[in-house]
Amino acid sequence: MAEDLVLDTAIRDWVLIPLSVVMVLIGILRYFVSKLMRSSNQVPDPKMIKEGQVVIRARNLRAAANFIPAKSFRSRRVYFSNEENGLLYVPKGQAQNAQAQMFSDPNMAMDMMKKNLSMIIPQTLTFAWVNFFFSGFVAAKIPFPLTQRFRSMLQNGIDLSTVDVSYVSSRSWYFLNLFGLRGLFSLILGEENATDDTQRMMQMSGFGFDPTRSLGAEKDSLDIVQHEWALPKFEQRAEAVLKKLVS
Amino acid sequence: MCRNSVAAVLCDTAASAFRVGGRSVCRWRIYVYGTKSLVSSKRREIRREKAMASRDESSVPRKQSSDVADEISTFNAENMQNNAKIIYYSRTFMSIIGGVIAGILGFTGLTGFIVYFLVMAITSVGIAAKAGFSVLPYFNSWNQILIDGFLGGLLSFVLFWTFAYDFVHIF
Repeated sequence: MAEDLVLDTAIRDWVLIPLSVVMVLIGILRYFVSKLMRSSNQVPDPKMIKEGQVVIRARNLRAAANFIPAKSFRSRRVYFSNEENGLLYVPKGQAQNAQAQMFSDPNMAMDMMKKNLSMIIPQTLTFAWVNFFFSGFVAAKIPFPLTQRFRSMLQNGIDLSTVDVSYVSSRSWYFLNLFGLRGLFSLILGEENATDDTQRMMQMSGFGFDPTRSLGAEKDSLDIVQHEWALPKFEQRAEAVLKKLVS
Repeated sequence: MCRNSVAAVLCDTAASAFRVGGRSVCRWRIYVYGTKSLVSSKRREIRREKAMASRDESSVPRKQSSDVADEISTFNAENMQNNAKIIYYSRTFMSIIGGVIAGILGFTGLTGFIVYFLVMAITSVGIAAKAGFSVLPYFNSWNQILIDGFLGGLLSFVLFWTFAYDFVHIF
């Protein structure tokens, strides 16, 4: 069934372009709104910052372990990971406490709810708008063929069953825009933009466990490190570099 | 040293040797490209930094590992992140452009996806060429510029492909 439907030019003018433009504008609006809302109530938590800095120090130690003599590396490692007062050592009971506390903290919960809402509400509103105004006609043609199983998903408002599956309704154009404009937003809005919902959801689910679990992970990876002091080999390396320079 | 104004080779080694307990110890002070970091250590080594001269700083991959003889590799995390970001931006942009091209030229079906893979391959070659085909100082491995993020721009490609195709051919 490969006949070509002739579609009205007005559909292009009044459906495709306005829908795309509206979604881009809503994305930009959401970005700025979230930036404004975020900066007003952001009091950094000193405990979390302290833990973050400890993790950074441990990571630096791990990265540059081979540049210090074995004894000093070992003494630093013990400072981080020994049992009584090591910085990275968190007893099991306390670990879970911190996690539960994070979730019942009213401020944090409010924050996460606000972020969730700012993501969901524009999408819901736009979807309702699309359904109300732009339903019941063929909106676009996808350039690649799809199987019949996609028909119910893509051709929602169209009640003819003989039309090619490539001709889709405006609802699928909305979804196509939703996923495809993410790349565009990352280009025009810089790195940190609130429109990438899947990334945000991953961040939010990992947020509550972050401090205590990362300490344990850092301690484990620090314990794994094999120390091999780089000094004895440096003369050979210097010789190699000099040879390359001279030749 | 301002981060945004590096444009030339910066390798300033100031050596001062003095004797400690019978052995001479040299101290070297070295400026690493992009950030000012004082590395003073008790080893005798010459580190040669090849800096990339660039007009547009933000779109150029920056050196991530500062050792020429690479048994010990030190990674500058911020440069690595910058390079990864550059790859991502390049791929997204090229997939959008590729989508528009495929739509205008009227490719349908499998041919369009072949255009997508072609565009991604061109992007990889372009990035490799920009890094002077010596990928290791700038990226973790060849895989990072060849395979990583290959399918990330697919959705944007399809969106702009559909858009342009509908515009031009069904308008």
